[in-house]
Amino acid sequence: MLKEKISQFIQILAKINSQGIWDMGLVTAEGDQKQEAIDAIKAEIKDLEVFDFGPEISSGNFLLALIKSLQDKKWLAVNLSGGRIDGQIYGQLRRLATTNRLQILNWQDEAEFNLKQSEASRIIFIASWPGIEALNLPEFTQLFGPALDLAEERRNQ
Amino acid sequence: MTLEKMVYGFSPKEEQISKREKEQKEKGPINFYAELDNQKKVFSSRKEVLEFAANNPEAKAYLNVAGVDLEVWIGENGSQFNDKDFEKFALDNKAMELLTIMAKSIKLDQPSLVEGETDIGKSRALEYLAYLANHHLIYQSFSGQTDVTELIGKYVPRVSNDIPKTQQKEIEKKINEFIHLFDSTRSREDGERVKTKNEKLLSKESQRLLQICLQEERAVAETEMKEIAKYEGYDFEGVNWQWQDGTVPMAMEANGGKGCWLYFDELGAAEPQILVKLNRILTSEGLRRLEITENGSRKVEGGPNFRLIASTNPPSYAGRLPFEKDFIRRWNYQVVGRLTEEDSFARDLAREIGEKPALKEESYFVGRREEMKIKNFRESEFSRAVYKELGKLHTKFLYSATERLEASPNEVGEQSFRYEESDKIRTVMYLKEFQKPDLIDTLKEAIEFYYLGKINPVKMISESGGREVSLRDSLKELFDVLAGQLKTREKIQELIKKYQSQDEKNVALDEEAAKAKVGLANLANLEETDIGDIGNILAKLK
Repeated sequence: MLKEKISQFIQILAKINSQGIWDMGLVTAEGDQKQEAIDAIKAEIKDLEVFDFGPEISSGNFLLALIKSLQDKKWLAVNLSGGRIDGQIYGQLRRLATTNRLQILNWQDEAEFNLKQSEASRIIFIASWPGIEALNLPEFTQLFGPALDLAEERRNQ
Repeated sequence: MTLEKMVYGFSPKEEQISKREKEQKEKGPINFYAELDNQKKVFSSRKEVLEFAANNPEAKAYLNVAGVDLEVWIGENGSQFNDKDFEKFALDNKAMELLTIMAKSIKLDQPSLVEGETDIGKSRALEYLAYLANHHLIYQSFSGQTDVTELIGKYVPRVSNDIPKTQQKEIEKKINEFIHLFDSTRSREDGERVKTKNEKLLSKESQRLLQICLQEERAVAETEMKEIAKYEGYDFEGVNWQWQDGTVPMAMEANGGKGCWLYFDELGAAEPQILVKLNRILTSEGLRRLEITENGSRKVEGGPNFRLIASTNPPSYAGRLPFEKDFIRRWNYQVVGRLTEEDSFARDLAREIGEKPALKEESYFVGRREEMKIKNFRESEFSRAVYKELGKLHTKFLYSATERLEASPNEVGEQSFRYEESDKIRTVMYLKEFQKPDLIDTLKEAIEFYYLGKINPVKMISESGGREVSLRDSLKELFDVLAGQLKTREKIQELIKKYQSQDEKNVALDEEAAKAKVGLANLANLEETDIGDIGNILAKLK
């Protein structure tokens, strides 16, 4: 069931283009479901990078991974397990969500680094609801187009 | 009859303007032209006008959006967008409304703050405008995590080239760790962010230093950064501390000092204390100067192309508090309503099949460029008389509108504002830039732009008799009544002339001339303070 849902979710992300913009996706899951979801995404997407986002991750670390996956025209699955989505990361995610572009100022040796998301790339965040709430970022869920709540079924059982 | 005709008997270039308006309607709401050797050449696309300007360095290229002319940037580092980015952009009525609001603010060089629901396309409209005018756009997104250093700047350690390459990577790793630790703590202290699980923060000594900077509303100075690094056990020997500009000075000085457009996205999502700090850049002097005390009191001058445009969601959104009055008055603050079903349908069409329905004629303004050319008119004796009359009308409207606003208290979460002197100045600038043959109509537009647009269209008030009406509509009606009174003055003058003519000829006065005679007798009883107040004159004539 989980695999089917993920498969459908991937199709939505791959095909739906809203006014020329590819959406980012959010998968919410509980406990071991998170890993199952990541495995299911891996099975669906050949060119996929997985990034573990935890408390030790700086904005620089995350942006490097994000840039690499976009440059390599890959999908990026971000396994959110704590840490902080700071202003810089939020700003870039917001840019991706609204314009499919990155614009990073003072990036390494460049005053302004620009990168456009290719049609072959997508970003998926996998997180638990308590993890999302702990971000203390009310705008977080608004970044995403489709959102799949895997935990709902479990809660209803 | 226009106000100019009323005051000095003719309306300059009225016929020519009508011709231009007709042309504008035929060309559509967005078009391009270039001026070279006093000749005007019209182009059908951005690409064409840019090519022409590239081949003719003396030429000036322009974009006309619903009657608002903006100079197209033809130098280096133009827009980061290209034609393909807007292939599916639906130029519907809502998009035109947003484009017109933003274009006017850009033309007037005033900071623009547009409030509206998430789905109306505020960001997209600005990006489209930046693309059309070929200006580079720098983004500053706001959230609860936004730190003032993102806006102004901060000191960062950089690995010196003198350090052997083998050691550089290790030091860079340490720098990253330190910056992460510093930013985490700073955002927590600044934004009252709750510490997340397992999150490491700066030591108490460092936090004490950070607090001093926050209380003084400034970034951390170089010496303080070095001290904090030491407290945290980082030995950055051989590392240079460099000042890194935030988005504001960067946009002000971009493109070799020319500046570029800066977009404050989701401004309302920022913590109130961050918004307060923005007052530092939104001073009465405008947006042209910023002093960065943390960086040796460096004075940053905004270049001629620098503009600030902000958007925000309505206050009912999660985490969004209403702006303070003192904050709002620093902006051209406009509330834009939801998408109509028609616009929604137009966007669906554009998205699904690429078809873009034609715009309704009334959805955009036309023909202002020629009107703006009537410069002699502005400087004349007559112009002063016209503006005096308009000033009276404006003041009377403000006075009456304020009474109505005060009689309809705001609900929790609803925006509140008051009219101030700065709004009056903006209105005058509007009149100068966008004057139409009928200046009363232009004033009405300015009032809609600066005042009525700030009122939520769904806000209702109770009229006498208990009828619920929209506050915005009620104020529009009020303006029409007051404008009507001013226009009646012309009628009164006609009647007086008629009376004087019949009186001179010693013929029996007809009904209208007789009325004028009574009116003149009453006018003689007016007090000095009444002179010039058309409302009082009319009341006494009755």
